[in-house]
Amino acid sequence: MTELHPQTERLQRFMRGDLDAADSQDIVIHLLSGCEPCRRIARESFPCDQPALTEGVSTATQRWQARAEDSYSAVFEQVIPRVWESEVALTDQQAVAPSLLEELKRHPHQRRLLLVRNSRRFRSWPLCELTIDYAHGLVSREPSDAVDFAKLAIELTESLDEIMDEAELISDLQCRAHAVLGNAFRVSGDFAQAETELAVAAGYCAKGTGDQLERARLLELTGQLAGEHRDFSKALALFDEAIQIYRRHGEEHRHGRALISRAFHLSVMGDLAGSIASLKQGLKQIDGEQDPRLALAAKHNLIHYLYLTGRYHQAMVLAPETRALHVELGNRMDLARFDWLEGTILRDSGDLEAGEVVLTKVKQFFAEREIAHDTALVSLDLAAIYLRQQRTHELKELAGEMLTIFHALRVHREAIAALVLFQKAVEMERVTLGLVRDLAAYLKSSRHDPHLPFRPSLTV
Amino acid sequence: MAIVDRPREVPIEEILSDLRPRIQATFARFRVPPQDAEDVLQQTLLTYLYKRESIQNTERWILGTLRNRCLLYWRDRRRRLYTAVDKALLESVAQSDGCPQERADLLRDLNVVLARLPSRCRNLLWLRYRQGYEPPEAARELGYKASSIYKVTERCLAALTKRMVACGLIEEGCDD
Repeated sequence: MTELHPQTERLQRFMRGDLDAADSQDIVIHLLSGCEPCRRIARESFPCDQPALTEGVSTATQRWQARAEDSYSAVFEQVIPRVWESEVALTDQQAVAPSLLEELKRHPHQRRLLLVRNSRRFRSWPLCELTIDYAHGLVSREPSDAVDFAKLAIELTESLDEIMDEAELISDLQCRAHAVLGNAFRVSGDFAQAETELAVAAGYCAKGTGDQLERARLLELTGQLAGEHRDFSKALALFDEAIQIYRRHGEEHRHGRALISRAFHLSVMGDLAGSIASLKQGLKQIDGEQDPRLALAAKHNLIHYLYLTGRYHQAMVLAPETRALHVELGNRMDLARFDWLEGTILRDSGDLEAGEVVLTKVKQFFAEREIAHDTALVSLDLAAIYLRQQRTHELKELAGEMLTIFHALRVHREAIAALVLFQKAVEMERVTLGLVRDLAAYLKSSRHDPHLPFRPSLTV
Repeated sequence: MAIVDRPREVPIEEILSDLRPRIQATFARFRVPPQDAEDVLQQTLLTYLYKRESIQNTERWILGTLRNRCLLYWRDRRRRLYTAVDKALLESVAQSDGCPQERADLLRDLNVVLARLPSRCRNLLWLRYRQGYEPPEAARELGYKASSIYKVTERCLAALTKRMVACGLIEEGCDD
């Protein structure tokens, strides 16, 4: 054993990683030789986190706590004035950020980029954040504008290092901006670009402050992209990770939002029971006033899944409040789709008359707007009512109308052929509910695949 | 007093007056030296300040982030310690080349510690210190993927350091 013991203070610094290799050599050799007093000092200089440690170490931890707690008071006295200074500067920037964004909005995209590159007054954290939020908010309505504003936000984040030293914080914001751009590309249908941007965002996240909320946001958006790629197990794993983070941080609204996204993906995978449970939980967590569209989408989907699992009564109980929200938000198309859902629930729960009234109005709505596929689909829902009531005359009229609309709107040949087949079956009075369902399923699939031929499961 | 759902304009001093005892307790629990605690606290509070518009639960965010930063602090320290141990051993072995007795003593002491490590760590570190293998060579010899050898080496260095002071240091993963 090496008899010359290193000084306690050096040994402590070594254990905290403060000594370089050359300075550490004698200590390493000494500790290797098994000097128990020095090993004890080394152990006590480094925190141990397991309760099952030796008694000596537990005592050391307690001693540390007793000693250090007082010295932490001084830490606050040092830190608070510095943070306060930053707070004042940030508050000033926050005050002008909204007007700066409004100013940028008035210009075309290229001009906006030029302005932020050339003018220092646009270099501010709050303006970056505001632009990212604005871009994210545009995604569902104007995806191409969302792409432009997310690119603008990235440009803004890249000049932040001229006004602040916190590189990790800037990386967090760069992560957010690239993630929002990736999401805008996803909604625009450009999945390759979306993938690229989300990978860039992940790189910035790794270089950032380690803020878990920032990471959870990225996980959510990456989950959405995995869903587009039909990689549902990956999507669910990402949502679950985000959900855990939100739960731990007490972020109820975001927790609920992630649960609602999870529910959608579960439904696509066919797990309607899991989806319903996730939606119910999500609806309890979200703040409907903060994001009424999210609340509406969740309620609408919940009713749809309850209907699909045959829980018509539960679905109808939720209908009035969901309708009220649809009316409040004022999207006529969404309301028509809700009417459609309500009409089919009424029909399948046995109220054929009420179902017919609602579905007829919905058919009229889509026909007036020349939306051929939806007109045909809602017509088939009506056809099921006529068939059950053996109203052959109305059925024939309906089949004729559907074909006329498809011809007028030049819908693809295969779909017209399918409708001709349906019309013939109607004329021959050989239509069954099975054929109606087959045709509806076919029209849904052929919307994205115009060359898909119609193959009914029963010979007509 | 709970500060969940505070209005966002609440000054930072006021938030801290509520959280101060728990922040101090967190530092004490993680045994962050006061001189370093200053940096950890300042970074946490600055991050909060910049992001507070999007944080719903101030208390949980600050305490959660602080805890995370304390863990990162020690992860960084551990890496520095393992690097120092590794380089010190490599240099000591190299320097003892001309002095057989010194070399024999060093290798004997090293053997005693290595003997108490899991076999895969023992083999890897033996190749490193006795045979002078670089990580890619050791990966080939022991059948590890080249991409994972640095992670495996770090874990083995952690096990070695732990055994060297005969104490369970905070670890993120286990060795075997």
